[in-house]
Amino acid sequence: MIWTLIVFNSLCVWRFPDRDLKEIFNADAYETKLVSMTEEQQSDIEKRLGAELDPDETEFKFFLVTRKGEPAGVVSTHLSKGQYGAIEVVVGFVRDADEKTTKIKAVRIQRDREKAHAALRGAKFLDQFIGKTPQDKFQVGDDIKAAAEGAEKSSAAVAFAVKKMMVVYDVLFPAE
Amino acid sequence: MNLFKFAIKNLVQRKTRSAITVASIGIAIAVLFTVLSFNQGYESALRNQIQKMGIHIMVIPIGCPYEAASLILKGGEIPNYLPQSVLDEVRKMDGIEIAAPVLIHGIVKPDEGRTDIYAGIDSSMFRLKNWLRIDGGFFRKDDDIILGSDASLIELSKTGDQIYLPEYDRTFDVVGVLRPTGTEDDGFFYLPLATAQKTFSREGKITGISIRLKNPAAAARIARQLENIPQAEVITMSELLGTMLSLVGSVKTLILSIVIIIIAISTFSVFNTILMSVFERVREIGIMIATGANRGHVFGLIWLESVILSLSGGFAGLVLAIVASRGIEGIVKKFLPLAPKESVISLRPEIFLYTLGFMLIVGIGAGFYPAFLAARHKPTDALRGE
Repeated sequence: MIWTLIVFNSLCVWRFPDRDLKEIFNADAYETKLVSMTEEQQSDIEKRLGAELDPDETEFKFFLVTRKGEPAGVVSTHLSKGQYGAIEVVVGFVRDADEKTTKIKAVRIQRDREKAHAALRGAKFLDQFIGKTPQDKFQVGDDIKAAAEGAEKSSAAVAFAVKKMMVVYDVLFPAE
Repeated sequence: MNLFKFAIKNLVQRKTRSAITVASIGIAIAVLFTVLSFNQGYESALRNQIQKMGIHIMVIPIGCPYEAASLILKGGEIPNYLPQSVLDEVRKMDGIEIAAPVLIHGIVKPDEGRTDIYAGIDSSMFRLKNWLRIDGGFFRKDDDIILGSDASLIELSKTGDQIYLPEYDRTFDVVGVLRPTGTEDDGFFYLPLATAQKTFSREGKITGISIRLKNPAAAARIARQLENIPQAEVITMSELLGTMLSLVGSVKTLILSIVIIIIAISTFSVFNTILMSVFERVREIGIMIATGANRGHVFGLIWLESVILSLSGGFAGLVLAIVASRGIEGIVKKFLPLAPKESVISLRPEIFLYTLGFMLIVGIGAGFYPAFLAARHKPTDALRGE
């Protein structure tokens, strides 16, 4: 089933940065950071995900968000294979200074052609991700409820994309 | 020390002035070389692209024919339609090898910042564009879809997957993916013509008909016959090519005029640089003549300095143009009426040689008067300067 969960970071553009920055972080500036991973980091990511990365995925793009010059969070985007075409996912997360972990602040769907289009983009589904950390399962039917009946596959694609970027960030930018 | 080394030494001694002159010539030459290269490259790329299409005539709805033909070729949606009965009339005419209808429909998605282009076609389109290769197969049923290679990548979809159109609540089975063609075809979603007409509520309507003739030489005659069909506008591909080239030609003439002005300014810059150096070197030239140099030596030295300066600027400009050509091409393509996918800047050796030859003439012309003036100096001028 892993083939249905292919996600690409490099292929996905961030379509509405101004809107997302304001809604998620109340911020208006960001800096793009392109990060390559070592073989050791790749192995760590794949082990934690339980899935292999695509051979083309050698570097990852993160958008470091600032508010009045101070770090406010991170945004990452992903192109994921849904049931009826591609799904583009935007994930906003922050690093919790006290607990030294990364937590999701918001998830947005910026492009999809799923039958459960509205449910997939709805707060009921997307808000389930808020506060989750890379250590969570992100399993549809377990800690994540599918967006709608019959939308399990597309819901799983979104959940996997979100988890993957959390894990990738956690490995590439380990908490001090 | 020979005359060439002496000339170089003189130019290096005034390095700031020489560098500024070389830079000004370099920029002018870079623009000239790019414009000349673009002219040749664009014409050949456009001709290739139109020939590669295998289309001799297009029949489109009445309106601006060139805009409509350009939009159809680029996959844009035009607001007018032809009745499908026109297709039957065209297919009955003598001399027509293939008449391929197309219905283009764009779905604009402002909230996703993109537009999907759907093309309703029948099997004649694949006979017309016989270079198209499909991984998978052709339509077997109404709800089949074929993806262009870019569309397949964007949707992460391949043969066997499904594509859903939320705007029309229709699901299609992907039966094939086109191999990359390097043309606009790569970005299309292809549907059976009747399905596209029904889905987009355009029953009995088509956007245009692409025609291949049995004998391309008969294009003008058949075009005249086609013009008798009501509501139809006819355009031959040679007319389209001519219009595109003349549109670009007007812009090119304007740019060339500006380039000529820039080069004239650069020529005066060389003239001024050399003339100033002659005025500053009255004593030096006087001593040269007093110590045995003849007037021919002095004339040759100053003239050589002018030529070296011009050719150095020419070389610098050519290097700049070659290095920056891809970036310039990207910018230029955005403003072209029908931008071919292949390169529109052709870096040909003959343009290289023409440009350098032109700079040689500039150097010779700009240096003549200062060289003549220097050669008229007398040894006593040097003493008077003291």
